[in-house]
Amino acid sequence: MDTDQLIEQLIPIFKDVLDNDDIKLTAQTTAEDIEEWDSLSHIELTVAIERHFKIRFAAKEIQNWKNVGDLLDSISLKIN
Amino acid sequence: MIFNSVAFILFFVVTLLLYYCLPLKYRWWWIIATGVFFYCYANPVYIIVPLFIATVTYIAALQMQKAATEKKATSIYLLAIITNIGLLVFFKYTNFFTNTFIDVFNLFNSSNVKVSNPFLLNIAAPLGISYITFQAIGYLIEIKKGNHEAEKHLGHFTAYLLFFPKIIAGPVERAHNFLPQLKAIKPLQYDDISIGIKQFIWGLFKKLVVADRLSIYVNAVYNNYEHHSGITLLVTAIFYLFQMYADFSGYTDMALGLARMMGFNLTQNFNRPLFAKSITEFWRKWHISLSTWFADYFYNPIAIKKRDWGKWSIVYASFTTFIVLGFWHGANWTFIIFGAMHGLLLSIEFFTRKSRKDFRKKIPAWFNSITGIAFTCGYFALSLIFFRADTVTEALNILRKIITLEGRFFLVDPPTLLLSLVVIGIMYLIEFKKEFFNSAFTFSENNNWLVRSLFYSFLLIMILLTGVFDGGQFIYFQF
Repeated sequence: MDTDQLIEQLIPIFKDVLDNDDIKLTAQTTAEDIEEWDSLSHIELTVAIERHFKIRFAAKEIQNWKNVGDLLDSISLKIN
Repeated sequence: MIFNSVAFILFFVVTLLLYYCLPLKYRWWWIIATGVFFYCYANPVYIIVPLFIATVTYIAALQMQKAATEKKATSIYLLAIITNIGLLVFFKYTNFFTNTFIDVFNLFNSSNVKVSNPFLLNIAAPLGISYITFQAIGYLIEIKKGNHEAEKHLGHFTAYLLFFPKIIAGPVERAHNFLPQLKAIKPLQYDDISIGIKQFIWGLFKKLVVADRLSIYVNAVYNNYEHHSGITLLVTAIFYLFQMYADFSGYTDMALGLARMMGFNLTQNFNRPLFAKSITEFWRKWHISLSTWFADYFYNPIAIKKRDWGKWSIVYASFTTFIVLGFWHGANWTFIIFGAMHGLLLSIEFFTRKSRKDFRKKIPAWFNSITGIAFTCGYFALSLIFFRADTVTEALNILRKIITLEGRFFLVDPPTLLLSLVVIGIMYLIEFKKEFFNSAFTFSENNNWLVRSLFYSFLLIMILLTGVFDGGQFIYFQF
């Protein structure tokens, strides 16, 4: 799966968890860009992504994501 | 030595003049020398504590990085963390733990003679011990995660921990924000001095004109709360909210202003929290350097570890974090309740965020803002009753009186009371304008030199005419 396909799958998860239908994602998007994305919802988001792709992130990975691009790298490593 | 004392102003003028006279590469040395002097001015013996923490943390970080195996690095890391936490616990919590132990012992002690605590330590905690250890611990965690290189220069690292503007009450500065600034130290710049002085004056205004003025009424009432009515205690609780904000953010503005005059940008610690529309938002705007420290090194690891619990992982992590954050303020059940109250509301807000969002769509934005801000400030003021009280019983008695609202209002010295309201109004209006109409027109940053000067002259005149100059220490000094 390439980056664009992954983003296509991430968008509905983000929209659902963060309850915001206007979310647009790129690899450069950070938590600063989306009002509802804070340290509380970040955990919910992580769990939803893990369930969707049936993967498990390491705690260290989750804490080191700086933007959506880092998150995509983590997902790619596990599903490809 | 508090920032608004004559002794400090003299000390700072000399510090700054010599600082800019010294060659760039020796300035770290001057930062340590002035830090040591500042520290010793309060208590000379205790200087050993921050110097010990600096040395241990510095060596541990380098050794962790050099360690041949991950296991060895982890052992060094744990040893350094335990040393830091051990010192903090020893100085701040020994009496709390031994007292609690003796209280429990007495509870089950059937004889009439109650045992007094034989382990009671009669010592004050070293200046800024919590802030110094938190910065050291944060640094060790970052090195352990491999996010940054360990600092190789012991002098630079010691200068980071002993930089005097942030010794008393923060901000909890990250090493990797401060150290690069120390290494790229720059020559004297007009902007640093000008922006620094302005921020210092604004902080001085909040401390001397607002906080210390309000503290006269607040102390008079809270020190004899039994004799005051519910309505008086309600007004006092609201005054204390403003006093606390003006005192702590005033201190921070002064600290940031002093640092800026020396060419350093410290972390922003307050972002107009009195305009937060929820407690969740409030903690993103209040004591930011501490709340992000807790988010990164305490809350997130717990929430991530327990994430399979779903929403309950957030509740668990929020409660644990806020109880520890409360306890960090001091060894007293009042602080634990203060923390628990915030953990509770944060959890409730988290569970209701979707329904609240739907509700918000049905009401006008201005109405939502007003009710949100009023509720958040009200809840924070309520939690501060526990924060300020000496015992839980005292806080509950105050609350009981407030609920009944009986009795007459304590109106002694009406001019002081009126002045208190006026200065709260001035501070609130200035911040209100910055929060909601920042782009419209600015006094403090106006392009016209005359408007800027008039604004700061107004603040200075207010300080000279209405400032309380014998008000005393900052509230957060004790933490």
